[in-house]
Amino acid sequence: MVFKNLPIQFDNYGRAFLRDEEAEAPFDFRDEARLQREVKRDRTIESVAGRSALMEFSSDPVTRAVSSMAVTASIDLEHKRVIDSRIEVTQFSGFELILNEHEPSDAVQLTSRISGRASVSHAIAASMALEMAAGVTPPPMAIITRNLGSCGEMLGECIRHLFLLAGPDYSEQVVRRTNPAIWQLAEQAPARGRLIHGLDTVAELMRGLNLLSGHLYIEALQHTRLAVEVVTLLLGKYPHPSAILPGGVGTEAHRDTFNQVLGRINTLLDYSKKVTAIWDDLIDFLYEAEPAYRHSGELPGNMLSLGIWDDPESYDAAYHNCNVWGDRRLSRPSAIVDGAIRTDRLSDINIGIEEFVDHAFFAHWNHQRFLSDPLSGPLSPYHPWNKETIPHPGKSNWSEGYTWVTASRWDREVMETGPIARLWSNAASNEASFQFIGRINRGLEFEIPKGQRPAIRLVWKTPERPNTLERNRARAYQLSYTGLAAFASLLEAFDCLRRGETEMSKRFNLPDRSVGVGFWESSAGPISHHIVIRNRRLVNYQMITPLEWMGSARDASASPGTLESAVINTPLIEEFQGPADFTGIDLLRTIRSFDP
Amino acid sequence: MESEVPSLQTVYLVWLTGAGCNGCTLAMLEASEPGIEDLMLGNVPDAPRVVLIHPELSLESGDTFRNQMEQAAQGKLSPFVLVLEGAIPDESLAGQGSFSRIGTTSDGIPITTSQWVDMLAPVAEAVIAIGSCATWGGIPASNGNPIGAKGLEAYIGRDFLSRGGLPVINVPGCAPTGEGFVETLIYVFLHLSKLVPIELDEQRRPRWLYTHETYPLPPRVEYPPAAGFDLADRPTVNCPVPLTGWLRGFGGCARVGGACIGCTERDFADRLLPLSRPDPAY
Repeated sequence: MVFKNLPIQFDNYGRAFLRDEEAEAPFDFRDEARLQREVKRDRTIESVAGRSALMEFSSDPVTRAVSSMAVTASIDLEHKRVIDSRIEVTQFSGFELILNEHEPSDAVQLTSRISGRASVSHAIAASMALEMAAGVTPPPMAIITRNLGSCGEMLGECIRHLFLLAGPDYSEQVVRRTNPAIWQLAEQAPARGRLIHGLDTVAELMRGLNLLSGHLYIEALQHTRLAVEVVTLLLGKYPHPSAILPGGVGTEAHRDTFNQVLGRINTLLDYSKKVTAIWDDLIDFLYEAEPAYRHSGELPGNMLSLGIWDDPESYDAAYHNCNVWGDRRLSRPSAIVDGAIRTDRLSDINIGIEEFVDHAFFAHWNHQRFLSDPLSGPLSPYHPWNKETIPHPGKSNWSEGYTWVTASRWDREVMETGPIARLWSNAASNEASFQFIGRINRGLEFEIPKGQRPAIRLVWKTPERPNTLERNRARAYQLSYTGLAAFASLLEAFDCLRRGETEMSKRFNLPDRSVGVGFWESSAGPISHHIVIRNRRLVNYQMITPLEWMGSARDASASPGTLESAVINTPLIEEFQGPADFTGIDLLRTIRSFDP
Repeated sequence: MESEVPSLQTVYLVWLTGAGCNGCTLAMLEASEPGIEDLMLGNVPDAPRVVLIHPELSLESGDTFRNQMEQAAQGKLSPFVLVLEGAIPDESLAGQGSFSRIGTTSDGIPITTSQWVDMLAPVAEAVIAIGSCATWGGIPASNGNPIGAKGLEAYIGRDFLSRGGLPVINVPGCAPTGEGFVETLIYVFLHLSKLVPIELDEQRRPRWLYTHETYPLPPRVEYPPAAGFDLADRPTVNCPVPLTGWLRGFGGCARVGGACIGCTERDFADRLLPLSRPDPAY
């Protein structure tokens, strides 16, 4: 079964069709059970408020998150638990609306500017959407260069998140104040990875995480610059690379450039050995000190990943082949519900995507351009090829609109994204993704070659369920995974250079009418660009970023978004007396674990 | 008002965000010699120690974080330098809501980026706009965007002078180099300490950074129109990147074969982006 909630079935050849061809509005949706759950939640809040045990916590802005975001939580002080939570995205920059005024090929440079940290990912997704529309395949060396630039971006993002954004939440500065008892334990707790990271106790490690004054913080900041150099060498600059375009890259294939990249990847791979040891020690210690951390930010394991880093032999920019080239990616796509893979085919993933605006500052659109995708698979009126962006700002109001992001859903499920979704997907697939990654029972094995530090074999175990700490652990292992993907891509690049395959771009002509989609991943999760071209102009440009997946508000059936659900599922482990000394650290850690 | 800063020991750097992509923050973190951490640790000779109040980097969150911005607005965090990243939307177009806010009042009314500018700019020793969104409006100010975005100078008026007697200092680029920005920051501090004068050009950019003239260029790819590219009608673009590279002398937009889209200029992207495009109709 691929879809449980959407009215789509498959024939023996894997072709999608509508369950009931005669239905008047097959995609209409109402889920009584979910609506009832919301009503019950409201009643609980009322009854807790009646006992004067209700505390409203809010943080506006949530700092150390890249998006402008605020959180509100209703907390039951008696039972120390969160009853409800709302996430507001507080900024709108209107990017989708300006694209219709520009030439289609400008979309690469324009959409890159929607997010500095995911600018390589957006530029690549835009190029791929245009390549699909124009039917052009970049030469192998250009695909490899794009992959490597994207690895550079992800390496930087993982380090930045682990130490500059999420890391300080686990530092001495914070833990001493919010959990004095745990800090005392940390001072006595030996660090198991001492031989790798050189720190004797968990307390020392936490001291290293101190914002600005900690040596791990400074070391991480310096290593992000090496990752930026990788992007800069290959794609001109970062953020907002200058050399990505449909059909290839502007960079020339010089051996020197790839040698310079190799030096930096080697250093970063070495550093990743230390990073995984640090986060393993920290997380294992926290589980032992307080088992309730296992449930912090816990979610059922609904995860989406679109796959990333194409195989130059397979990628041909064609929608009707996307299940072939999607499967050959160095990190594979999949939609996972309750921990199990529903599908790993990009076309199934695509038709399962919908965007809802019921609780966002956008108005409903009322016409449906497409009834099916290019493979005749049925499309919902809420699918991004049909969706239109109509801003409708208003006062924040929980029952109407309260955020500037749409609610993206897959098969009407709330999905989480990012490193944990990607690693989970690769661990659950049938074969190893590339030569340095091995599959083991419920997990992945990484062979990291010798550098300044000796070669090591790392094992990432698929956790029972995703939670706050496992998301951070997955991000540490994603650093190694990405370094290895870059290393594998470099070997391919040197191979191409030896064969003299140095062509870097292909000419293309845009057709009068066409559609396209680009699927990629930034560190935080899926990036997809859906485009419609008429008379050689863009008439609709729809981008879905990880923020639409995780930062969304309630959807049409009132299901809370990913971050909202994770905050609700966070036990309060912080030591506090009442509202005056409550910092909300557990909730903030949960939000930051998604890297929003 | 006269500045009360003879020699700076500590300076607060209040970083405010509007409509943008946070890419300038990334660029700022890329500079390494010196890096922002060297300023924060007080390791740069003659420059004060910097206390950074930044929504993406600060330890504090929510009210505790916003409290520092309020203190700055009330003159209690002194001296401070204001940096704006991102354009300022016209909130009158947002009806009862807002396009860009940081916090709300106790009655739930949004406190918008433009209101924060109104509160902070008049009491700041210096005001710096980083990136093309904050300087000229950038991509958020493109045709078709309903948010009415503007750059800082257009919003606050060209006559504006900070407490330190400086106009809005513009560091344009999408993004500008981190090295260029950190260098500008240090010059501003040295200027406020009355150690050196800061020299700005007629567009209030650090003069030494924007002297090199270049043109929008298409990427180095397989397009005949790109090969026969005529520079005659191109507007000039002032940008240090063709000379200095992007970072530590590496990279650079057109230097590696990518496009120069004129991202440091006024009216980027509407006027300049089409000039750097190989014509796909060819």
